Amino acid sequence: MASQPPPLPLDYRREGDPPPKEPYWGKFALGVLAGLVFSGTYYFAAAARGANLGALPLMGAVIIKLGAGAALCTSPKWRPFGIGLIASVAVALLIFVAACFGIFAIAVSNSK
Amino acid sequence: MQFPHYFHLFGWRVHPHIVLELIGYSGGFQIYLHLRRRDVWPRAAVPFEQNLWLIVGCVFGALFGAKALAFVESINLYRDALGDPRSWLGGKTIVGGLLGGWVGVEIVKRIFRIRNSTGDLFVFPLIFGIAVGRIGCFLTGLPDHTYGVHSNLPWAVDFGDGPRHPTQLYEILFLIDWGIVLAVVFRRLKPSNGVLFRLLLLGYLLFRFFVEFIKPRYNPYLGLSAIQLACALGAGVCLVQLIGKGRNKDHGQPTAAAAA
Repeated sequence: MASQPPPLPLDYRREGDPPPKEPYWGKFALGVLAGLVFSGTYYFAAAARGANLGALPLMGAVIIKLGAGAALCTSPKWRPFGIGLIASVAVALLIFVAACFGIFAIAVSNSK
Repeated sequence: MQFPHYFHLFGWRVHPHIVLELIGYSGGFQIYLHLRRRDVWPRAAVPFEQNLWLIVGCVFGALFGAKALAFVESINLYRDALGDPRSWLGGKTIVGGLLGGWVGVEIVKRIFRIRNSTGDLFVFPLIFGIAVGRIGCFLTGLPDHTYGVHSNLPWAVDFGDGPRHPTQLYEILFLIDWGIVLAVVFRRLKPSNGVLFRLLLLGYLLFRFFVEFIKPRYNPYLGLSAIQLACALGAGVCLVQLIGKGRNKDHGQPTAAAAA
């Protein structure tokens, strides 16, 4: 016999009552932020050491974040954080790497 | 004013694109959360976890679309640098990002069998994010390749090689105006689910199609650039879908999952 989906939660609100509070988005946002900080640190550290950015080092942060995100998705408690880590791969690539025209340049320099 | 116009933060010289894009993404996300909490578009909201995956689909689709269209748009320049992997990393277009993000969301919706339109919640976050991002494009100047052709108009901006149309500023002004129009449409006409998102795309893509004529471009496709072709295609899809929604009024019955 096919398993039944769980019953919908009962809504005891009266007319005019505010909608129920949403699950906390903070874990997802933290995951995205953590991913961005990790990417920024990884690539700026690599550039500062003058690392030859071949294919594997270039993809290092991406592979680590995708792996960690997928692992965290197996835990219901940490799934939003893991999804945020996965999303941060694309967000980081869009912000840090993909300049509007094909300029691969390190954008931060110490002006002191 | 010198271009690129760097920001100086805590002793570091930071590229304007990074700063403004971070503000655009985070501010747009906050606007999205605010609209969700206020239940402004209840029929566009889906369960929390599915919503997270929609965002993942959106950003990955946007990444792929932005880069693919940027490559095709300037293929005459990228062709000579195909051997350098760094050339594959750079380049992006908002038109490609919007269309790619839309496709990414539709793919995730197919996977989760979400049938209701979800785009209306993204309308004002997108307007904010694109407008703020364009400030970064303007402050970057010539290296960004988002400027217009040379012009003698009084408001032309000299990015370093003579006065040009500040097409980035035109776009910001258009987005503010179109955002006001869409807000009025939403309040007065109460359009059905999905109409507002398609109106945003239709207006923006038509604007981009025409503004491209005053930008330096590679236009080998019947006198049009790859971005213009993408704009025409995307606007056509939006128009067809809007006409379809007009004929079959979407009553937006919420799914059982959406009520959870």
